[in-house]
Amino acid sequence: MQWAVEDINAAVGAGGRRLDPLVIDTQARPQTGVEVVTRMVSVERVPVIVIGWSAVIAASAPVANRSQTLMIPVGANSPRIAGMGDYVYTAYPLADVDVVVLARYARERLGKSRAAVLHLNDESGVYGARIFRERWEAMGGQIVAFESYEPNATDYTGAILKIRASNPDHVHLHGNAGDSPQAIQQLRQLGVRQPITSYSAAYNPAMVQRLGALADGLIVSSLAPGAAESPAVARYVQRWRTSQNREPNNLPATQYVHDTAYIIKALVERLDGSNRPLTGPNMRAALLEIGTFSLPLLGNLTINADHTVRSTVYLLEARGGQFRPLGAFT
Amino acid sequence: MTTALEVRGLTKRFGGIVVAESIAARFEAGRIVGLIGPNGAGKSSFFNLVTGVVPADAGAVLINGTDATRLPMHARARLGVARTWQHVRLFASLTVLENLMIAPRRYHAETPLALVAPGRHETERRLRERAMAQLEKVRMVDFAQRRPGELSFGKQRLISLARALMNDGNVLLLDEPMAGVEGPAYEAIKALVRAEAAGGRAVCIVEHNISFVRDLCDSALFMFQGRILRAGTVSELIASPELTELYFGT
Amino acid sequence: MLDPVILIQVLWTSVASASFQVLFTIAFALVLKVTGIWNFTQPALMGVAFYAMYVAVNWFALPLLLAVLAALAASAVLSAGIERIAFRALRRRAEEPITYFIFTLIFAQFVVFVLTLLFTPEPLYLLADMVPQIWLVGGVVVTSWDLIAIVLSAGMTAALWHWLRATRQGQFMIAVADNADLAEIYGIDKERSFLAAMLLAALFTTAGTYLFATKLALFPELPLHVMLFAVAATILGGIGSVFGAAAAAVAISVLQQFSVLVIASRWQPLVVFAILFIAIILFPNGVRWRGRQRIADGRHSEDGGAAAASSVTTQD
Repeated sequence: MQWAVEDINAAVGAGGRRLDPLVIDTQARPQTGVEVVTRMVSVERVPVIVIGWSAVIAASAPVANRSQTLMIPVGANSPRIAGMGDYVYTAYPLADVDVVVLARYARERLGKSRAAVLHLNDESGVYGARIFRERWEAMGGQIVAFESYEPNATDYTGAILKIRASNPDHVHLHGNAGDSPQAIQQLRQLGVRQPITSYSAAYNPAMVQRLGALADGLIVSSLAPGAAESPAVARYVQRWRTSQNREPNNLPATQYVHDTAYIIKALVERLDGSNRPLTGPNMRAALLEIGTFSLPLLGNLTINADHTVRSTVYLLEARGGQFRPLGAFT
Repeated sequence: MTTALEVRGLTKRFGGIVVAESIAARFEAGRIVGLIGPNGAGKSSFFNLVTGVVPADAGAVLINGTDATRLPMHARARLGVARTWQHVRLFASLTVLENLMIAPRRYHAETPLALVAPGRHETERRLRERAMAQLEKVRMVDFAQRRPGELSFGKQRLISLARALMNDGNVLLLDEPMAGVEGPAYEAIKALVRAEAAGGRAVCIVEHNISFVRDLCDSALFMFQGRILRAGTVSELIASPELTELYFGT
Repeated sequence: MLDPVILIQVLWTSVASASFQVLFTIAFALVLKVTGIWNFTQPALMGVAFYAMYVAVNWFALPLLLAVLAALAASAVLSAGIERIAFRALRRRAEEPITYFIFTLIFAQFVVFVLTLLFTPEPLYLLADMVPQIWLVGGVVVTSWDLIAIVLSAGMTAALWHWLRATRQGQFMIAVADNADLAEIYGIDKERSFLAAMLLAALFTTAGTYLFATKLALFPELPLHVMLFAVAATILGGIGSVFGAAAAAVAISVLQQFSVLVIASRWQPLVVFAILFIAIILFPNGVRWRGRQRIADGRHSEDGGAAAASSVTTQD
C-alpha cells in the first residue's frame, strides 16, 4: 500500500491532497485490533480504516460502526464480513466466491468424491471450511475428515495423520498465508499425495519452488489477474523482485491491498468534487455512489451495496516447481 | 602428638536453647576419645558444629591447624573430617560400593577433562579396590552391588562406617556406632576403630554403651547442656556421683 | 478396520515426534531431581536457544553447526546465571518452594516478553529450506529428520545414563539428588552439582530446540506450551526418575498421536492436560514398575522403625 500511496502522491495526489496513511500493526490479534481501531477513531479521528485478518475485523467492526468510520477489509475472506455492519464494506471477495469454485473444480473437473478438509481454527478458517463442506456435500461429495489446527500452531502431525487414515482422494486446505505453506509441506512429508486445493493464501511461489515435485497437485485460487494477464501486474511483480529479491507471497491479496489506496483516492476526489467534508458517513456514501472502481492491478472492481465483491476466479496449479494457470472461472 | 582437631570457644544457640557453650577441646591423632552424657547434652550437635552442618555462633574449629570455622561442609570433609550418623544415611540411589567410591577426600575424574585423562582406569581400579577393602573390614563385601534400601538396619550401619573410613583424613567422628549392633560385629568394630586410631586418626565416639566406651577409649569428655563438664578416663568420670546423677538422673 | 500401514505410520511418526519432547523432559526432570526445583525457566532457555540459532543463520549467515554452538553457549550462560545468581541466593535465604516457582515463572514470562519485542509474535522458521529427504518404507513415510531426531535423542539419553552411572561427577549428582547436605559431608560440592545439572539442562534444551526448529516454526510464547508436556512426563515417570520421565514422554507422544484415530485432532492438546491431571491425582509418585524399595536411612518402608532394634549378623 505504501508503494501505491507514494505513486499517488508523486502524481497529483488525491485531487491535490496528499495521502498520509497512519499504519499500526494489529499483530493479527483481535484484542490488539480493537485497541488500534479505537485509537484511530477516538484519537486520530480517521474517516476510513483499511484492515486485514478476519478475526481482527470481527472484533473491531463494532467500534467502526459505532463511530461511523468506514472500514474497508482487504485480504480477509470470512463470509461473515458481509454482515458485520453498515460501515464495513470489503474490497476483497469473500470465501464464498473462490472456495465454491475450488470445490466445483475438484468435484466436476477432477472427478473427486472423498474430500478431507484441514482448516485453521479462526474466523476465516472455520467459515471458509464450512463453505467448502456445504458446497461439496451439495454436489454429492463426501467429507471423510474435517480437521483443524489452532492459530500459531506449527505442528499439524495429528490432523494430517487423521486425514491420511481417512483415505481421501482430495484435500482442501483453508489456512492463512503464514501457515498454509507449512501445512502443505507437512501434508506431503507425511505421505498425503492427493491433490490439495486452497484459496490464495497458499499462493507461495517460493514454497512451490522449494518443494519441487512434492508440491505437484497443489491447486490455488487467485482473485486477481496475474502477470501473464496484466502488464501492470507484471511491472508490480518486477518491482517486488527488484526491491525484495523475491515475488510476493499471496500475490493476489497484495494486489488488493495495493489498489485499496486507489479506492481511497477515488473517495477523496468524489467528496472534494462535491464539497463534502471527509467524514466516515460521507466516505461511505461516496463508496456506494461510485460502486465500480477502476484500479491499476485489478481492473474494474465493484463493491456491492450488500457488502460483497464479486470477482473472476483464476485457478493455478503447481507443476515442476512453478504455478501454471488452469483457467478463469466465475 | 599431633592435634588433628581443635575447637575453641565453640558456641551455638537456637533461640533460648543452648546446644554448645564455649566448648574447648583437642583431639590428638592416634587417640580415641569418648563423648558421653545424657540425651540432649549436645553430643551430636557438637559433631554437627565441627563438620559444618550447623554454623557456630562463636568460636573456632581447627582441622590439622587450618581454621575451618567459615568453611562449607564439603571443604571440611576435604580437610580430613569424616563422620557417621546416629541415624544411618546412605545414598539410596547408589549401590553400596558406589556409596563408598564417592566418599574419598580426593576425587579423580572431577573435571570433564579427567574423563579422558590417561590413567583414569587405573585410578578407578585402585579406588574400587580400596572400597572393597573397607567393605572387607566390616564384612560387607557380598553386598557391594546391592542398594542400601535392600539391607537391614544393622548392615547399613556397618556400611556407613566403611564409607566414613574411605575419607583418608585423620579425624573420625562416630555417632553411636554400636546402636543395634551385637555379636561378632561388636568386636569387629572395636578392632576396626582401634586399628584406625593406631593408623594415626583422631577418633571421637559418641556412645551410650558405657562398657564399649570404657573398653575402647583412651579418655572421655562428659557433656551436659552444651558444656563439657569434665575430662578424664571413662572410669574416673563414671565414678563421680555428681556426673552419674546427671547422666542417669538418680 | 484400520490399515496396518496407517498404524505403523502413526507409531513411527509419534516416536520421531517424541524426540525433542524427550530431550526437553530430561532437562526438566534432571534439574528437578538434583536441585529439587521445578525449573519453569526452561521455556526461556528454549526461546533463547532458538533465537540465537535464528540470528546466527539468518542475520549472520553462519553455518548451522556454528549456529547450534552459539545457541548452546547462549543457553548455557543463561542457565548458569540463573543458578548462580538466582537459585543460589534463594537457597541461602532458605526460601520456600513457592518462591522458586514464582521466580521461575516470572522469569520465563519476562524472557518471552523480551523476545516478542525483539522478534514479534510471528512464527519464524529457522531455515529457508526445511524439506527433509523422504523415503517410503512399505508405505510408511520415513524422513531424514525422523532418523536424525531418533538417533540424537536416543544417543544423548544413553550418554547421560552412562555419565550418571559411570563417572564420578555423575555419581556426585546422584548423591546430591539423594541428599545434598549428606553429600556435602562427604566432600561433594553440592553447588557444583547444581550448576552441572543446569548446564546439562541447557545442553538438552538446546538439542531439543535444534530438532524442533529444523521441523517446525517457533514464536516466543510457544516454549511455554511445550513445557506442559515435560511437566506431565516428569510427574508420570516419577519425580526423581529422569529416565522414567523420558519413557513417559515417549508414551505420551504415542498416546497423543494415536488419539487422533478416535478424536478430532483439535482435541489432541487436551490429551496432555488429561494425562497431567491423572498423573497428579492418581500417580503423584509416578507409575511404579517394581515393588517398593526399603529406604536407606535406617528405616524399612515395610516394617517402619522396628528394624532399628534388629541385630546384625555377618551373614543373611
